[in-house]
Amino acid sequence: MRPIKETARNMLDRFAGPRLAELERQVADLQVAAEESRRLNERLSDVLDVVVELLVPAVDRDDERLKKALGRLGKTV
Amino acid sequence: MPARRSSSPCWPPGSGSDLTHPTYVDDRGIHAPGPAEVADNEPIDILFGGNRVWSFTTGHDGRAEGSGMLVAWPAPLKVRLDGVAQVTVVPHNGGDTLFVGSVRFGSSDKELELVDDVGHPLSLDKGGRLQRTFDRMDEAARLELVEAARRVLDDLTQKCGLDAYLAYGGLLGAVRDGKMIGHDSDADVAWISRHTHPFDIVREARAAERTLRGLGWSVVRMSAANFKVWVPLPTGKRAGVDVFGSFHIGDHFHITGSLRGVLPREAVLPFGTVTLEGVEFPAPADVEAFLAYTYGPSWRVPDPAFHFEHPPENTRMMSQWWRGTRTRLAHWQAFYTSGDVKRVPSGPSLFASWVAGRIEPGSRVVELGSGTGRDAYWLADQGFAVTGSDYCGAARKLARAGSARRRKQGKRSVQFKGINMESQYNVLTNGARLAHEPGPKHVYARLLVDALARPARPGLWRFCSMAGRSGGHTFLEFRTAANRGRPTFFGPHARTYADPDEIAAEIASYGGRVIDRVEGTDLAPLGKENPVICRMEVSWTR
Repeated sequence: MRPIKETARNMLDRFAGPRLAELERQVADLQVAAEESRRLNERLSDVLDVVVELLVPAVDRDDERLKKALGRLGKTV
Repeated sequence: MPARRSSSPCWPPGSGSDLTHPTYVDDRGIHAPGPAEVADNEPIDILFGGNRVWSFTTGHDGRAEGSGMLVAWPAPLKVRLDGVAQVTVVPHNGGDTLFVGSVRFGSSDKELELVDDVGHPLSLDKGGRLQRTFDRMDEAARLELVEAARRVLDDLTQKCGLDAYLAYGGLLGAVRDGKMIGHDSDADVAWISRHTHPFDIVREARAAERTLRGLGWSVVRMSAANFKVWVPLPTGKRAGVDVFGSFHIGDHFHITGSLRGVLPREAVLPFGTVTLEGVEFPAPADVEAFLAYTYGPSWRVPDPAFHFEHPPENTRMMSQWWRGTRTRLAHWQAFYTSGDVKRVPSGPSLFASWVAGRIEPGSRVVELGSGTGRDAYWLADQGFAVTGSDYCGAARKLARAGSARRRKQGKRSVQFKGINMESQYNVLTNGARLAHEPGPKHVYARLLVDALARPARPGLWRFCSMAGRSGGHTFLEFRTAANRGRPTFFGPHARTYADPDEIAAEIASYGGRVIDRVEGTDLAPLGKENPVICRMEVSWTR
């Protein structure tokens, strides 16, 4: 007679195995998504800093041109 | 809340004479009695000539060796061990001396002196750096540091509009006896954010950095939610005051580095006051609850060997929020300050000559991840206009020192910049500056793809595409996925073994085209390591 532990393992593999594997895959996917989402805060802040730093001197130099550029940007976003 | 070591009897229980394995000290470390005879959580001090140089516990720092235990010297201390010292090993909180004797380290017969450039004795602080700790400072010097922290805190409060308070070791010392902790080396302050979303906290930290810089402070970003302010001291030295962000996100209270646990806002606000070295500071409303949150329930017991033992998920979460531009940096900092760096060949790589044969004589080359600068120097010697770069400060320091030596020898010096592919800000500003320079600029990146974590690669392609707009090419050399699991010359550490097809596809998505690709062994052999290498030459859409 096979040991009870082994039988239980086989039953688990047969019935719950695919579901466990699917859950493990989903957890791994969620971890990647959470990491991407957490990193996004700093990356977005970086881009915002660059935009602000470029915009301010740009505004000082050529107001009319910048307004046109911003107008164009407004239509496409 | 940090996990703490369990309590067990003292090492030694009474006298050292009944131990089967007596304590002794040599070049390798401190040889202690076997695990059964040693309390693994008892902080032990090592003194050279009566000055404490390090404290350890066998539980954290020791490993079994034969019938005893070895506590190996930490690398920053080991590299300084050359000479003769009168060594004492003694429990920090009282008990019999475990070892006293004269020990000769290395080959020198001179007296071993662990001092800084002006003769102040040094010891290893909790961050593993040789520092002048507070137990080595006179009262006036301690007061200078504390007053510097107070000036920074005042500007954080009055000019930056933050709720700032005394934190970490300074708070602990103030509550224990009003003095700085002897084995500490800095005075830390924190602010508690009014925000509860990471993005707002990043913006808040950057606004504070900008304001402080505007006031004339020298500020260095340590992460997206903490920074260091360098304060000049009357002695001509400077002190670093670390400023840590603290905040509630969800149900948890966090303090940068990686503290995360449950502490209600009412335990922090409204602030009370504490006195440190005679200077008054704002402090958390419930300092005892705050210190138990920071250091665990035994915060009252002095422990110079204390280490934070953050649960890995806490460190991971905090790193992903705030330290996205510092992935793998700790490894490279340790590498470029260790003896291992001497094993890096001083001459150029084979890749350098491969690239030199493909670009116009005298052309402009920017190296990313230049490490010791070996290839940058060689390319400069061939007449190319080279700039080196590395995101690791220790590597830049080493490369700049090499460049200064070259200058004295009459050779061409090379400039080394801090360029970090993980920082969008750094990539965009350096990329734009480079793109603005007239003429083609080539990018040279040897083993950078290996060193970068995968999320950093978009930054690399963005930078290369900006540099390549005026016609310059990008040259890459990296170990391929075929090397995964194989032994390497410098031993195991986090590396990326990229698939060349995947790299080519990523490059294409940024407007690049692989115009030459070579794969095979014998391209970058080092010692017994002969990895499968991929070389790529890439051009970019103008």
